[in-house]
Amino acid sequence: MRIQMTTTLHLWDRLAEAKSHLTPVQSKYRVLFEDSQDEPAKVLVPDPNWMAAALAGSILPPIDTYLRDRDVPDGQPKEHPYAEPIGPMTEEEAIEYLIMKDISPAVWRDYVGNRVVLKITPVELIPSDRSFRNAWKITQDAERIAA
Amino acid sequence: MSTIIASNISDGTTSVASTYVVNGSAKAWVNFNGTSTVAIRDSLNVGSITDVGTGQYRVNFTNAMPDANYSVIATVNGADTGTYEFNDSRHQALGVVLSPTYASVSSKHPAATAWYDVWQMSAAIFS
Repeated sequence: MRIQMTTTLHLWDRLAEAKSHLTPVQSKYRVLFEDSQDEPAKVLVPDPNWMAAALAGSILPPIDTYLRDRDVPDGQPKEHPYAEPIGPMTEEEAIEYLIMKDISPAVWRDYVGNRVVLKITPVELIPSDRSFRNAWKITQDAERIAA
Repeated sequence: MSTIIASNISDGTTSVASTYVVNGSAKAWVNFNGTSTVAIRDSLNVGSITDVGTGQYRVNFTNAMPDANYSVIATVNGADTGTYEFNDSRHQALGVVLSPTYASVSSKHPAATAWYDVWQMSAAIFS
């Protein structure tokens, strides 16, 4: 189902409207990342309502508005709630969008080391047994993409 | 979609300023499974959660809060290991405001020495 939105609606209103009309979509992917050598690998879990909005289009703002808003001081008006929404994304594009929105640029843009610190992986390759969860690291073996 | 603009809302007898309704509504909420492969059950205004480690999660908002002065309320139910029972009233949840773009939620049991994963974790954000 496609929702027709006017650009005058605040992002909050678009999200509320989307939730009432769209069927949630559980993503097939998770994002493994390491943003500190002293901490275990983290796992980014896409929200099913957000994914439905990303796939439907006309709800989420351009990703560059979030990136610019990182530099806006607290309490000052942000750009992303009022930006004109973008069109539908594929699930892969939505995951990339989410990485840029919710993971530090130090991981996905500025990191220059040889170690793999970010991987998009199918959900079934994430260990379901959480034993030793606080010792998880991203495997550096290219043939194995689990934590 | 239409917008109703009104200063007050009334049931015919009692009237309340509409700002109470707007400001009193949760600006974001989420319910997720923190055990096994972590997954979100349902939410509003949440783009993702980050599984940070055992019993520790981060809720990332789609529409950021205006500042870091909002309130986060978290609740938990159930453990993943069977060490502690479901509906055990001693389960504890901790919500911490970290940034306008995300909040941290954690789960614990008084008898545990560290954070632990829970079957159901909920958080609501008011600002």
